[in-house]
Amino acid sequence: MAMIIAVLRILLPIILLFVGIVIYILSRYRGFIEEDMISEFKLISPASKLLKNIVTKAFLSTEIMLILLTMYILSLTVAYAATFSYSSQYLEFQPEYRLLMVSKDFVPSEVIPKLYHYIIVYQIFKEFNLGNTSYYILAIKCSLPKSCIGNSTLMKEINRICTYVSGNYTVVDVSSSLNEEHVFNIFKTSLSLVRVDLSKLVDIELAPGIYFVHSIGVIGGLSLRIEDPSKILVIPMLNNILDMLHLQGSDVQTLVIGFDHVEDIQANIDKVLEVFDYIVVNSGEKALVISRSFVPTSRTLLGLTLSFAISMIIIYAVSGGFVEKMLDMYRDLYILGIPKNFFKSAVILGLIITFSMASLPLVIASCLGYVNGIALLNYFVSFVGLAILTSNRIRGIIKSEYAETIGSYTYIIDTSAPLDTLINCIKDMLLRDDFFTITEIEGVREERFNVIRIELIYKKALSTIASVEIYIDRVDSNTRYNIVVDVWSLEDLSPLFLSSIQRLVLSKISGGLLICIES
Amino acid sequence: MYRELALKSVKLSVSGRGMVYVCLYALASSMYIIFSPLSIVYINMVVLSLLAIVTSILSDKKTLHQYLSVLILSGMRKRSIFFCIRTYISVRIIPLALVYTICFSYLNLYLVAIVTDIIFVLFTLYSAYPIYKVFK
Repeated sequence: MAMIIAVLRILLPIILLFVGIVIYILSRYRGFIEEDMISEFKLISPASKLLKNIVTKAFLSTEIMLILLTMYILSLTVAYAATFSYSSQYLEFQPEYRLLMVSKDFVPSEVIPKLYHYIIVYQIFKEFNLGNTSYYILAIKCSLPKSCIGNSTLMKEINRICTYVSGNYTVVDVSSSLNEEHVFNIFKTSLSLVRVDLSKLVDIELAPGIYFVHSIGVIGGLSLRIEDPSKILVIPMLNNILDMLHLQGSDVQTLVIGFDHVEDIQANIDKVLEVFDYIVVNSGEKALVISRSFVPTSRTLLGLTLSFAISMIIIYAVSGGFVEKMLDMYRDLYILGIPKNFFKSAVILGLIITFSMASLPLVIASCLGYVNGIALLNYFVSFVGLAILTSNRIRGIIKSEYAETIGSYTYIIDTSAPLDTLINCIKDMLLRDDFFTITEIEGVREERFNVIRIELIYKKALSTIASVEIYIDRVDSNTRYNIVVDVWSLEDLSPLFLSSIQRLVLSKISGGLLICIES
Repeated sequence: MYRELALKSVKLSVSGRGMVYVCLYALASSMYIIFSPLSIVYINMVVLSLLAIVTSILSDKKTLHQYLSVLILSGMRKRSIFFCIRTYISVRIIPLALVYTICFSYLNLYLVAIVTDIIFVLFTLYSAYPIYKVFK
């Protein structure tokens, strides 16, 4: 959830900028290039005008308002009813302690929850250079009773170190070249020095990827920790030493290993996870890792699914009306030559702009923390459903209602015929035609090509005229025939009807022309 | 005459596509209420149910428009037309009222169930005039 909010905080200025630019463009450019004798030239893009019309129509339509209202109510309901829990996971290992609390920062011992038997470890990542060697400090505080000591290597090793630390000794590895004078120089406090074998301490793994010594985890099976025991300097946790090291705000990892009072900590898990990043709890044969990150509960996910289902029911019921409104616009634009894919894209883009602008209050409320990110997620998912549904509906209706227009046809053949012969042949053929009456036919000889122009009247309608132009030119040693058909009518005929007449004319002319050339 | 009109309205309301949407909505929202028994969820679901009825009427816009046109052209009085619209809406409300009453009773919220039913009755009574005005 925190990640979603962080992403939104980054995206919000971008979205606002985007919407601002779109609004500016829509208000600035209002049409196409128009020449007005009185006023100035207006620069306009037809695409942005179409987009503006779609957005305006969407905002003013009852259907979109109902959908928006539904989406808002459901988003707020889901956000209010959403519950979250800390993410937890069982790991297949049996820890020898009862509790392990890990923080990537320095946690003062006063803040640490009350425990009677514990070990506090500060892994200080700041290195101390003495001569050519750098040392890493491990500050330890122990409160271990004898009953806690087990027979395992881990517990024996920890107990050995704790015994020295409790006696205010500084512990270094046997191979280390440090002496008491060096230690005094670092801490300005005289501490007795003990040399022990720390190689076992280096290998102690409290949980997968968490080591007793300085570690930053495991990457691809490779543990990232200090493997050379001679570089480790174990010191007792004395107040004057900690003050001198200035641990607050520096690079320190805090580990607290607990041996009792786990129930109290589990009961106050919220407070513990405010301080620590994650805790590992011994739960019999397995270890339970509870992390600070929130995850939605199954009830929240069910609520999200149900709210999506409800919004889809309402969207499905109303979007038909909105699609009808859009198709009314499309029928007018189709005559002007707007392709269906372009229109479909424009509707989807218009919806994206409309719903992005409408989502602003929700986005702002979410960023200010009034509603949680689940509301935005619900809004987004519902919008994706609406976009897919609208797109499919528009495509389905356009596909069933309108056919593709074929306005021209070209073929190249190696035989040619004189222009006059062609005109006479076509004229004879069309005079006997059942569907069309020929009103005009003429041949024009240009420098590079010849043109045959034909005007036909469709017999089954009152004033539907088809204009045919056949361009004839030479391509190398062949002849190219390009037939262009344009149908127009004074009657209120549907584009589908006009398109079918156009194809009828095209098939008659192209077939007839081939017969004429061959004869 | 009123019996004939009522039967026709009921038949039209049940056979419309909007009835399916209302039933689906009633099912989904009742599940929501049972899984999230919170006061804001009850209020929002009741508000949404009113929206769902409006939505269902919009999805059967053409049929309802034709029906009202026929009633007006046949010289029906305004009171009778209102009766038809109210019957039409009340049939749409029945599945919602039924499911919500069962849901709230299941959660021992009898008062909420009664208030919801009163809201539905008021909606049926007072939405007839705007619908008549819009579709006229």
